Amino acid sequence: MVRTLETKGNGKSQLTLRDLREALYNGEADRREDLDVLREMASDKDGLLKKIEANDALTHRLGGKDNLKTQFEQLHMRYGEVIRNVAALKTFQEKVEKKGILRRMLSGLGSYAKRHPFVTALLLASAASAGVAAGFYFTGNWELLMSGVGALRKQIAAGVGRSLPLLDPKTPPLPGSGVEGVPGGGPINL
Amino acid sequence: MDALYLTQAEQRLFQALPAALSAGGEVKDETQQYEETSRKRSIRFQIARLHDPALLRFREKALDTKSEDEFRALVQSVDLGKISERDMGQLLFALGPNGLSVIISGILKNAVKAEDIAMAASFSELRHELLASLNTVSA
Repeated sequence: MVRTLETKGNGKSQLTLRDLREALYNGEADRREDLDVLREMASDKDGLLKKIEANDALTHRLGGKDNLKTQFEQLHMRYGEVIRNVAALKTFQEKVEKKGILRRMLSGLGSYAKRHPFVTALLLASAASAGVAAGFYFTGNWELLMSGVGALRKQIAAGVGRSLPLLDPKTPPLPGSGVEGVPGGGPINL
Repeated sequence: MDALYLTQAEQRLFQALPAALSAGGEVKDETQQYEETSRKRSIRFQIARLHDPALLRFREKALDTKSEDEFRALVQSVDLGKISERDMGQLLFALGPNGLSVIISGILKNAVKAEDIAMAASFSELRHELLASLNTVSA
């Protein structure tokens, strides 16, 4: 049986994203990810709280609705920066699709990228890193990235996810691991 | 041609282009600021999700490339023009404004055709919207 609440040493239960995932998606929880919960938090926080409050088992285990609400707010605050970025991504995606900017760019990108492989290499290097939960992040050294297509290829070929100098394996997992003021907690499974 | 939203430095690159290329290009000041950090970049990469089969295949194979030639062939096998709008949006979001700035500068430095300027315009408009989206939630 999957444990839905983590019991702290002081005897109080702490609400987790996994709790929300299981409460929200019930039997499908394992097929969903914490990011789905954060998307809900970003788009309709109050609606999400109402759905969670309707889960009697969870409310009971948290010691009532007041405690559930308090913990929900704390969880929302803890993941605030991620939630804001989730909201920004949604806004960005909707705006550029609605305005047709992506479609326009993509229509010319195929032939352009063939002539200028650095664009292809950079976008594909991003693709290799996108959605990776921990360990592989760009350092932001874009000048190094662009120092030459050959160099970029060489670095990437050195092994994406193994020793790629473009990615910084030292970057701490986010969030909830106590970095940069984020309260401690287990690494998020995004 | 669509407007180009360019920073001061990019405008200098644009103005240095042959008149035949820069003529007719409407330039607007990109004045939005964004303070990039490794943390912000990490979050953006973590929340990006890809579904396009070509990108997923690339990601899987990229992990197993053993040589530069192999990687080059892999890169060349992907037609970026056929990537879904949704996934391209996710990728550009993950790259962030600084990543897009590198692309825009790269395009302007190497521009030889009108379509290059059009490409720079598209990327600059995408960066403009990205900056607006990121700054709205940061406010």
